[in-house]
Amino acid sequence: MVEFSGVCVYIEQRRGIIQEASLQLLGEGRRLADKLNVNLMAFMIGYDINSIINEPIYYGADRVVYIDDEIYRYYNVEVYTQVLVELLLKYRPEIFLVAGTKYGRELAPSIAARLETGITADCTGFDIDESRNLVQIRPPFGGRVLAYIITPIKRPQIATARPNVFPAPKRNIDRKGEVICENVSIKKPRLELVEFKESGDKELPIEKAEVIIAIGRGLSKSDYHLAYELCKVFSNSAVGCSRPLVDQGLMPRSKQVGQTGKTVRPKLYIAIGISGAVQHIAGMKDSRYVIAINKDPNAEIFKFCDFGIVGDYKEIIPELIKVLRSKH
Amino acid sequence: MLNMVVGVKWVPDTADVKFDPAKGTLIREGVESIINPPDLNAIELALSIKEKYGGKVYVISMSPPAALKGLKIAIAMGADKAILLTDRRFAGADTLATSYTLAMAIRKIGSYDIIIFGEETIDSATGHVGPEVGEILGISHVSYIKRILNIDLTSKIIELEREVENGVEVYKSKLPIVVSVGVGVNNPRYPIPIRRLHAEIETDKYIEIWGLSNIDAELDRIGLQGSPTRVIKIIAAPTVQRRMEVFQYSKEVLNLMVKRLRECEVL
Ligand SMILES: Cc1cc2nc3c(=O)[nH]c(=O)nc-3n(C[C@H](O)[C@H](O)[C@H](O)COP(=O)(O)OP(=O)(O)OC[C@H]3O[C@@H](n4cnc5c(N)ncnc54)[C@H](O)[C@@H]3O)c2cc1C
Ligand SMILES: Nc1ncnc2c1ncn2[C@@H]1O[C@H](COP(=O)(O)O)[C@@H](O)[C@H]1O
Repeated sequence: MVEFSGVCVYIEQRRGIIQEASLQLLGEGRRLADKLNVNLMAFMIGYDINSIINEPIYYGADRVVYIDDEIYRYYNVEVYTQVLVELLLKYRPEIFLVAGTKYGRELAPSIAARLETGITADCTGFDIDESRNLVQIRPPFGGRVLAYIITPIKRPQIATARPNVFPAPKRNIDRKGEVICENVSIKKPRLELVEFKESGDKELPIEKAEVIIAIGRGLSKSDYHLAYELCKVFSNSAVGCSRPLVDQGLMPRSKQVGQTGKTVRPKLYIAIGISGAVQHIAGMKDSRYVIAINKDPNAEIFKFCDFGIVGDYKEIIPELIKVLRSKH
Repeated sequence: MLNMVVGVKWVPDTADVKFDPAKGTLIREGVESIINPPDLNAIELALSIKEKYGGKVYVISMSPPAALKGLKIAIAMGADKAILLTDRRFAGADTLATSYTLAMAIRKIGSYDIIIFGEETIDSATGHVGPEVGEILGISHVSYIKRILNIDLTSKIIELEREVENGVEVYKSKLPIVVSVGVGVNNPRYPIPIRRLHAEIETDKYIEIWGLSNIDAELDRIGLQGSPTRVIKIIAAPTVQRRMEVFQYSKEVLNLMVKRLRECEVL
């Protein structure tokens, strides 16, 4: 049997755009590869991706293995699983890292089950132990604890990583590496993508914002404009929300902060009409400064804020906008 | 007629779980257990499919016997039958061994069309079980679905919709299929008291207890020995120390706030 060696990162691209979370993982992959003294490889699948196949090298990979064909234009878990299983069996990396996007969180366990190997979800840290195992660190129980997990025997060791935890490395177009075009034959999938409706969300994504105005169930729909007005006082700012607003169709999924939404770490997080449930806190607890506005003095959110104001947002926000505008 | 199987996990209410830093273990004593929240949505989805297309809803849980309480709730909500998979040899399973065991039990149920899971558990939060069960059974699987658009009972083709970060996808597949759903896709119905009573006094009629001898599972793929991953340690998550200056609203408070933002170099 050929030994497993090397670190590999799956590079997720959607319509020719590489996901930020995959680039972030290249930095972490590079660090682990250097620690093990092995190569860093990147797998990429898509259609018409020629213009981006060198990107993983610019971000730290030594080698890119890619597949380019019309049938890979859109993600399909069944098709992508088959392809990645083939590549993993051929190139045999000891570590396989996947960005924890929705696709990644579905694809990685699918691959792990086929290869009958171990997988750890939603990691926020990695290390290498003295036996050269990958130590996979993750926050279960709503982020109360950190669990350290290894896959001592089975290879590859597969893990998904939480987006926006690892910083993306600097792009360096002078880096050189090897690029290999692969071809695999796959079985016709049972699962068929019939339609993809792209959401027209053109605003600054919350994970990139420096200031987030987060709104919760405490706000009436007719007052959402107040949050947007407050948002406009800052630059690089975005409006985020708690989960119930998304479930009720009042806000898009892309704006949800929390355990089942996005993890954000802005400079300033202003929570308005949010009670502070553990699942919400899990997504914003690493923000630099947290302001909470809530009419209930006993709201949990006040335990997780730097500055809290007890009162009605209807009264506070307009005044806050005035104060900030005059002193900013 | 469609056969639905719903995977349900009986989990400690994570909001109440505390950590013992000295021992490096979680304190579960005195913590209430509940049905993993999205699994209630999974049960609701199965029941609503049954109402529309006809069929049978099985609920399955791999757990120590305490989960019986959860399965009774599922029966009271309207599930037809529940299976408690319990055996010492199943203990210590990671997601792969759990998925394998569940898959072998589902195979034993015989005919299944739609297998529904929650999108993830509140304790381990991996979301692995859906895709892994799908792969082990060799059938289609789609996570994070929002709704079922249509099921054609003659051609056995299902159409469904799911949401990802940048849009909405519509998929079509031949049954059987595995899907997973999150909280918020529907409103789980309440248990019906009379069904609850029946589940309590005629438990054997509704709930079967299966051990390893009831399913065809390979010993080296279940429990701890069937688990490729090992938890080596658990520590308390480091927390950011917050200032927690909380005031009743007044205009002066806003001035103080601006001052603090400057001090902390946020503004
Ligand atoms: C498995 C699972 C996953 C979840 N994932 C997430 C997640 O990722 N993100 C998330 O956010 N939630 C998540 N939740 C839901 C979470 O448990 C809470 O239900 C949710 O965060 C509550 O949202 P909220 O704070 O906006 O609403 P509420 O809890 O209803 O709080 C509203 C607050 O507004 C205040 N308020 C009301 N009126 C006013 C006023 N006029 N002025 C000022 N304040 C006012 C109230 O005092 C109250 O504190 C999840 C739940 C489960 C079970
Ligand atoms: N022990 C179990 N028994 C039955 N179903 C389970 C079990 N563990 C997980 N599941 C199902 O799989 C889903 C995802 O769980 P997880 O992959 O652990 O996050 C849960 O919402 C349940 O529907």
